[in-house]
Amino acid sequence: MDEIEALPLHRWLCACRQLMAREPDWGADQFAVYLRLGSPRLHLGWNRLLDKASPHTPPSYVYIAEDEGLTSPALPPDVDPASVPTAPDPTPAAETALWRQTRDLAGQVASLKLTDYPPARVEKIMASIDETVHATLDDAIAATKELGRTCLRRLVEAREGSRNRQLLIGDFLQPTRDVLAAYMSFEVDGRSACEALAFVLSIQCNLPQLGPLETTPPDARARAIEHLIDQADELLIARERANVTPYFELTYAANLLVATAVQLNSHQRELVPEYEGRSHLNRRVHYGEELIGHGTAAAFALPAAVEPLEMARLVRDRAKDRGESALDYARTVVVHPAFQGALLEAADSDALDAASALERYQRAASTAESVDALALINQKAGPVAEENAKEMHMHLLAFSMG
Amino acid sequence: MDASIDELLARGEKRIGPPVLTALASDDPDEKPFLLEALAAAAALFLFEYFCGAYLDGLGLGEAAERHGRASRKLLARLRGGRGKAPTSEEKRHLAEGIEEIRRAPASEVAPEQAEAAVRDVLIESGVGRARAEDLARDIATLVVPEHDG
Repeated sequence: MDEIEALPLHRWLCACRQLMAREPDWGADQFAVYLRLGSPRLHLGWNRLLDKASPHTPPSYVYIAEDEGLTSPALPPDVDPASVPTAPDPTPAAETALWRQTRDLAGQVASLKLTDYPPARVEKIMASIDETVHATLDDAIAATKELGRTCLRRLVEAREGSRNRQLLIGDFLQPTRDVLAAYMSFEVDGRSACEALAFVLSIQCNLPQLGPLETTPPDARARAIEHLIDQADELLIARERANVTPYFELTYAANLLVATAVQLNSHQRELVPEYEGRSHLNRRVHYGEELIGHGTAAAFALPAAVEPLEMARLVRDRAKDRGESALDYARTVVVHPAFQGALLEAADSDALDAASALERYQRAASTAESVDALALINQKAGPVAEENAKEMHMHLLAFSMG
Repeated sequence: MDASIDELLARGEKRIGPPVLTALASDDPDEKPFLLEALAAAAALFLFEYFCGAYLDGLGLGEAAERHGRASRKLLARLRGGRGKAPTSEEKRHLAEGIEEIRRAPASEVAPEQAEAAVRDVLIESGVGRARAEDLARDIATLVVPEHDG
């Protein structure tokens, strides 16, 4: 079923995606920003951002102006570092409106006893998200390492199983698909998933040793980065023809692919600082980050927070405040094309009530395509670049023949 | 002429979108500018000029191709130098001349494909994803040569 057929399901899934797309504290913080709850963490001028999950990562800097902005790993020489405020840490997700909303919506979905989402499935997803929301930094790091170790064990099994000339290339590619599937079903958040995926995509390329990261051929890592960005781009193009569930799943998946590319690019910069194609890879990754910034970041917050009619009126009012058309602002907050078509103009009508607005949205969405997001990603070699998969195949073959 | 070129640029601008714009306008690979909407018209002008240069080259009109190629290189340098500004009347007139020349020329099988591929490649080289680069190059081609169907 398409999730928009049961509104609480759609809202709950969007809330789950908002929490898990990166990591819950960040998701809840962004939710507050989009809903304009509390005061913003970033001020006009330069801001220093620290990543508390990676204490060894150097700070990044964000410049905010009225109509422009810039992110940079360094401050310009004429800015005194002492004058730059460090943005406060976001409120822990467990204490936020988004987490309360997610639990309320989960209760509503469970009570619907949907065939695709029976109470036991809802409970299982909530247990997984609850664990992530309440995890300490050490817990999160340990969980990521465990996920990486599980993937490594399976790669080793596939390699060893290939010794008797029975080539297990499918098993060898499977861990990347499993990480993706675990992320899509909210078993792991985007931060853990992207680290695990980057790890597997790297060590896979160094057969038969399987690691360490330093031994990944730089060109193979570069191909992995390019592939992930291209694939994310394709997903965001494909979502335009999709009905509601795949639209949001493709959006959610693209987020992971780009985050993984960013992670791999950071390995490349650290391990091969003089890499010849570095500038091009940075361009690809910047492009990917912009795809996410403009194409996915705002997608889940509003549908999780409010019903379609309220959302249409909120879009209309904010567009007016910004002097934009409702359509332009709707694109900024990444609404589903059926929502655009069915509700943006109708939002002005006082005669429209919440139930008929939902019905209009459902009717418009029902004419869109049902796309299987995971199947679309897993066509060919899935998150693995085709050329890398071919090389793995050859190396595995050589290994299997002794 | 200016009115139709303005309309063409506005249509091109609408198809570009912020991620492509950032890719085209990024100069320092360590720095990521954002909120570059003001540069959209300059980016559209660049893509149309680049298309014209490659198309005219495909027609074997070397001198005209070089003129538009030079103009597009200047525009790209300006974009990447963070000096994107609204296209001037002179720049628009220059583009209009190129488009006029293309539309007046006899039909060609090679030139449209070559020009579309050139736009796609410069987008990919700038960092844009392959699928979107192909889509956008096709859009630019269709806007310049409406009968072009890729």
